[in-house]
Amino acid sequence: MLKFEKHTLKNGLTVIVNYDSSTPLVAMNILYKVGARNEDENKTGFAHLFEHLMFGGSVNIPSYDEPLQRAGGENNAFTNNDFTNYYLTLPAQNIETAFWLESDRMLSLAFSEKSLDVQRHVVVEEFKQRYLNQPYGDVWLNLRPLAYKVHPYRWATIGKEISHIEQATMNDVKDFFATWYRPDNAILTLSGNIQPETAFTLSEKWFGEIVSRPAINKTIPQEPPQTEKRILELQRDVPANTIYKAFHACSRFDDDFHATELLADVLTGSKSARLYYKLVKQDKIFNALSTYFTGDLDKGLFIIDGRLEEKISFETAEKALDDELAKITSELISEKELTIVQQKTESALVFSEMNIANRALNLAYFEMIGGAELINKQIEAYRSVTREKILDVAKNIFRQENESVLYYKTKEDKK
Amino acid sequence: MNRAIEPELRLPEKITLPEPEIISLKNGVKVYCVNAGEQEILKLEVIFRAGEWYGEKIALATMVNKLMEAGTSTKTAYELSQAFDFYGAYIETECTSDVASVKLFTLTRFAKETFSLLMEMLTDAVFPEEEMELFATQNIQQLRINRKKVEYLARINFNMLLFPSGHPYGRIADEESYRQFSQADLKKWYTEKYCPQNCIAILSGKTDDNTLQYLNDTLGAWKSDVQHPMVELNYPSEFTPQKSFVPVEGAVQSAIRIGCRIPNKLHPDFASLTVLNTILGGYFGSRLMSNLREDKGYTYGIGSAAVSMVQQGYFFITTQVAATVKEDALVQIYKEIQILREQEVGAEELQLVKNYMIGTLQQSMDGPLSVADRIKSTLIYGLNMNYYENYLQVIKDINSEQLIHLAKTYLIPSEMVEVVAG
Repeated sequence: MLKFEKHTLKNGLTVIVNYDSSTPLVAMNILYKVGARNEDENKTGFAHLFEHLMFGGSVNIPSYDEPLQRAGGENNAFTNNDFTNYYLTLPAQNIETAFWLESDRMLSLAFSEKSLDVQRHVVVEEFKQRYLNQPYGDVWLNLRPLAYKVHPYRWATIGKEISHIEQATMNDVKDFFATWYRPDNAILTLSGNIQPETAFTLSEKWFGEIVSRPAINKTIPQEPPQTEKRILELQRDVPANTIYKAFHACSRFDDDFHATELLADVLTGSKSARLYYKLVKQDKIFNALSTYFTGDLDKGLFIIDGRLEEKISFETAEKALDDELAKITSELISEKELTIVQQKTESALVFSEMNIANRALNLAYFEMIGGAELINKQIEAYRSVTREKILDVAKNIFRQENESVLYYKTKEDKK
Repeated sequence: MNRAIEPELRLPEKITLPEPEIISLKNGVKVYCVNAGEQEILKLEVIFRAGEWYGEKIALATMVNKLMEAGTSTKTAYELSQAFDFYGAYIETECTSDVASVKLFTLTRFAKETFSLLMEMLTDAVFPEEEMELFATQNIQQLRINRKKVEYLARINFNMLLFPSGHPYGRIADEESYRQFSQADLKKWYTEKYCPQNCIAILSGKTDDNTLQYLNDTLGAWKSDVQHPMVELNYPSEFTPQKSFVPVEGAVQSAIRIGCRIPNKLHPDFASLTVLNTILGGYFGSRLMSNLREDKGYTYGIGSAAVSMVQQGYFFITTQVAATVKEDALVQIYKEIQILREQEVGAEELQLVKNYMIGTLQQSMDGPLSVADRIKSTLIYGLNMNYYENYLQVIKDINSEQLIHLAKTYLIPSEMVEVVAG
């Protein structure tokens, strides 16, 4: 049971505090509800580029990192399709430095041309390092637009192409800031050695005067149901053939969410999981095999990702997968399989609460999806999933017309 | 309120270094206990002097360590995995050059059951040939994927040049490495190295009244007649400083790795070298990051590290840069090393680095599981938690003359190994 207190400032900023006196540190997390799904299709990769610019100095403070490091702190940030998250940890007695830094960049950035120019280059190198100069690095750049035709999930956080990043202008940056980096579009959470009253007072002091700008309602186009199986073949300089199957699944808000997560664990969650055991260990069809559910705010994908054994053809591999999927969509899993995935999920959740930075992030995440109190209802939500529910979910997901397949072939593979 | 003014800072006067409770089990195995935290969980790590260093050939130590999970005389790999899964417990095996270990993560309420399962792995593993073959094919395929990565190519070539002539820190597994051992080879290593005479354990998390009893009934009841043979291996300490280029067709980025040998934790200079390293490339605000990323936009990231291993330490700089700028990137890297050797670090920068390092030291000790990791990283050198007290003092006391002296002594460009891949 994670204890916390919540307070909302007049400008709409939500502040949540988990007090823990056993640590000399405090973790602060600020989540902005903007991600790649909010981007214009001609300016993709922008939410992530913007995250880099948040470190390029704010209106009153030329450098974000230096004062934080001087305070003994460490920080980082990440962007995904749904949100952008900034986090830091520092000695508790210096927490005011964190309020000072984070509130100033929420107030306004410095909008430095030099910073924009350099970060465009840095992000282009990030694009190359992670997506181009890497075996299998471009899988998601291809799989997303295959599975999504309408929804902005069809591009990756890094962006559709390098040119979108190269063409970003200072006006784009200013617009993006004004539209999304508003106090009422953010969640501030703290975990560690800080009393809630202190945190609320400091929040009022530093964030209270930031004026909220009007929210702009931009609706995100939702993906229509897929009606036929889609196929894409790519040939690349990689050592092993790999198959990726992507099925449309539910959103984070759906009743099926927890069952869908457990379904992924039932299939490949451990070395005794049924799909892994049958196809990797027993039949030696795959060398590596995993399944996962993206669990996004809008309808996400259920992915099966398998690296083929050397002498196995795509045809054999896909048939073997489909046979297993036929079983999971027609028969209940065993009681033991269900107990195992529920037990493993429970211990993973408990372990994740050991760390103050994780706690701060989790509180912000659950606040975003409906209320921080949900954090204490997760174990129960996984426990109440039944075998019948998992069967229903599997039936609904594993349909041919709901599927996109990427055959990622080696250069040698002729077929 | 003037937002241009930085709030006042206070640095921790003292860092509380948690003292583990040291317990001897009834068979003499020492257990370091860190009983803390709110969550009802435990981590038990059993550490053996059974790293790659002790093997005459590469990969034997790793294979035994990884394949202990592959079944016992009474449980197949599947059944063993399912047994841990049933309690929501996780096993992690780790084999470095220096030590091999098995880590168990479990809810405290399942300590009794999961400790027993862990003991089955430690005492009764059978290494089925089929599992050995699966391990080989999986590792060979991973190796083939790695060979397509410039970062990997730079790293292995760097290690081979810095630790040549069969030195275990410079040995690189190839496709044959994983198929050169018989089941008997694995069993021999397992019996000789994985025994109570050759291990220590660290227990962290929230124990209850029974936890130690369970530990005594399992790990403490382990007996073995093996005379543990302590192998004394000697490897040449020389290497030839040189520059090497590994061409990679079509690469849009080049990976760079530059470095040299330095003393390890057992030497008084190591702690000071970590300060020097932080200034150069050890944190986001470092000189290399400021120059190559934040000023020139050459790279997504550049960093350096002072690495301590039990037999030898080493220092390296690593980055991946746009292929078109690799020459200038090298010029800038050497320029930054040269500046460290010639110019005093300014007072403001040094203070910032000190504060940052004290803060991260404090973070690295936050929570029982982190403390357990810190204990491990001193125990394997025969050191104890006093190491961190001394380390903290070194950070606080070091001055810019000492840093120049260190840079002149240890960071000598003409005596480094440089590898560029791609």
